[in-house]
Amino acid sequence: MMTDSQKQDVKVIIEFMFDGHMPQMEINERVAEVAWEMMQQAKTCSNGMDFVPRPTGFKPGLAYIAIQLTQIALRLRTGNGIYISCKSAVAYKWSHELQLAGMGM
Amino acid sequence: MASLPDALLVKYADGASVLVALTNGRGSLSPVPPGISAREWADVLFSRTPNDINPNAVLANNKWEEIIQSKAVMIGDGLVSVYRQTPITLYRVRSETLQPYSDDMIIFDDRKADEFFRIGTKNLPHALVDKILASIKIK
Repeated sequence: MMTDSQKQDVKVIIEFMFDGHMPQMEINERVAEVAWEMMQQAKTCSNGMDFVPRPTGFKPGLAYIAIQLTQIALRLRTGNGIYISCKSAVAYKWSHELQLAGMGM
Repeated sequence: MASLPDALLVKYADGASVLVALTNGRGSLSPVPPGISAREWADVLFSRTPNDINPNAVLANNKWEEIIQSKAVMIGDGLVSVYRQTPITLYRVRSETLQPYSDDMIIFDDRKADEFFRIGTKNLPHALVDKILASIKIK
């Protein structure tokens, strides 16, 4: 179960990725997972940025993802280094997946 | 089955799913940089490499570089195929690792330079995607 604080962190990340154009949605665990994948791809694209260290050898659980997303949200609040091209490409790739996740799918 | 304002998702009992969406290249969620058409964007994204020289004076260098850079997200380690049958051009990225779709396709109609269809499939065998693409009838 996600806390209100964790949901707020996920919301900060989504709003950043979509420049505020994302429709209203329910923030749930699946949405958090999609947000996590989006940040992973943004990291790959904006090569050299120290965003999220992916754990090796296991699939990250919600607890790990929530901690990492909190740190990312903090960085986004205080400035970021994601290239615009990376951000728009990631937002495009995941926009429908994110909306469907918000619908519980 | 689920629908969004611009998309339709069909989810099968075996876990496979197919997303069909219409994207406006000028829309707020478009990956197309301002000032160029979606067709130009797709041509650079899928047909050019970082080693190419920008052949299009109209396309400013920074836009060219932005698009080339976004290949890391849009294509990654995927295999790109281009299918062409006037007036349709289909770009397909096929990958075993790329998220969220193992086959991610963009389809243009020559008569609409700024609109394109996207078809994304998950857990659908590539051979079946081949058959679906082969069955498309142009009207």
